[in-house]
Amino acid sequence: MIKVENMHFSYNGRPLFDDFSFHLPMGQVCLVTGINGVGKSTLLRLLAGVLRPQKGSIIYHASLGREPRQKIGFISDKLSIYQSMRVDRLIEFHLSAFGVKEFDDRLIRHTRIEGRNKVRDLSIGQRTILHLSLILSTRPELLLIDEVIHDLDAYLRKLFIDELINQMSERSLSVVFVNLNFHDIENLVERVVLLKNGNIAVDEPIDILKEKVKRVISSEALPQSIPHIYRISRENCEEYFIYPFSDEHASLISGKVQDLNLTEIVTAFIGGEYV
Amino acid sequence: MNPGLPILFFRSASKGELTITHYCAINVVHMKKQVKALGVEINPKSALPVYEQVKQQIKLAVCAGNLEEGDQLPSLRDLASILKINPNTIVKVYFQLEVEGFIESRAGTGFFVKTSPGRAKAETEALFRQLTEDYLARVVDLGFGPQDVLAHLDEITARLKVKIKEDRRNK
Repeated sequence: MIKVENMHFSYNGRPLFDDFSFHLPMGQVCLVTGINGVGKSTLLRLLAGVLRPQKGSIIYHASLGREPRQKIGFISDKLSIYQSMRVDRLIEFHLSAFGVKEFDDRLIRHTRIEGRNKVRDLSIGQRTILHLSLILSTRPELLLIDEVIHDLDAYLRKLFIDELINQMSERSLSVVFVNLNFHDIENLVERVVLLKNGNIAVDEPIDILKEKVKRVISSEALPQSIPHIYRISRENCEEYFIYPFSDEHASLISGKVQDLNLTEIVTAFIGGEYV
Repeated sequence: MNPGLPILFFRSASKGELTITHYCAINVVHMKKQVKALGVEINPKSALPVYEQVKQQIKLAVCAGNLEEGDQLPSLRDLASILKINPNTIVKVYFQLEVEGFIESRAGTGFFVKTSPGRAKAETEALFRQLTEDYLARVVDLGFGPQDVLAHLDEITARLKVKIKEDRRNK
């Protein structure tokens, strides 16, 4: 779907990506994570073609055609563009700009948004869901989703995730999420990528990651031979997040080895970056 | 099935009119157009991959007889939407179930349950062994040994025999 090769990108003279390569296959759902300021949003902008790399290349699959940006849905945190426009005018404008014949109002049908409303009079959540429905109406092949979904309340978020699953079952849709509320997308994500110092530190399929990241709560220190990414000292015990865990470790550990969900895994990786 | 799990009821599939009252469990359309609920739950913490969790639960439903020959499974989209999981995962589940001979796809109509008595027996036995092993692992964790387990088993089987006798007499 998209192939980034040996990319270099600096922002205000500060190198964010150096010799960065990343390949997203067709139809894959990938979660990009990392600490604040590591360049997650910048990476999305680069993938969307909003920013250009100073060195290296970003190659799109031929199915995206000559104008790949028309086939990429970029849901960024900067949505407030047409503040004074009426909703119906905005929809019309958007459809003609993207050559879409019909607007699918499934997403906004039950959100109390009306055609005569001005965009600026909508709540943040309504504005976000309107933006999402405009983007999904263009039936993108690649969807890049920044942290905007945090603006949606639980109901609007559910509507959005439902529509996402709906479109994923209709066609091959590749998605890159950045640090979302992981609980919502727990079982949508197929791959997790952790960014660190301008490059990829961890890149694993979710099923493998769940086998490789474990938690152990132990009253004694773990043997040196067991690698951990993050450690919390409690009053009477130590909490370790082990990665990569292998079966040989199990016999060396006195505490119980626990499985983790996506949120816990990502939190451990990010926590490890801060320490 | 987990009794706490809300069930999705369809009024009557034969009338073609579908009403959803509750969310969560999955429906299977029976050959005779009755609608059954199939509870599938996903544990996001488990290191067992999601496709494996869904697959096992469908197999279990077939082995336990909750799903019968010819029952129609939910569409990819419905199952993905209800379980909130990636449709690619469901494709993988259905594909593997078909390879293993638990279901068959009929072009244009969907996926249907295929049963085989011999296989059901093997699967139920495997499940039985798995349950026993899980139980033993937890009991050993508590510090009990084989003698304790056997003693308790004797106690339970004695009670079980009485219960079976009573059931027979009642019938």
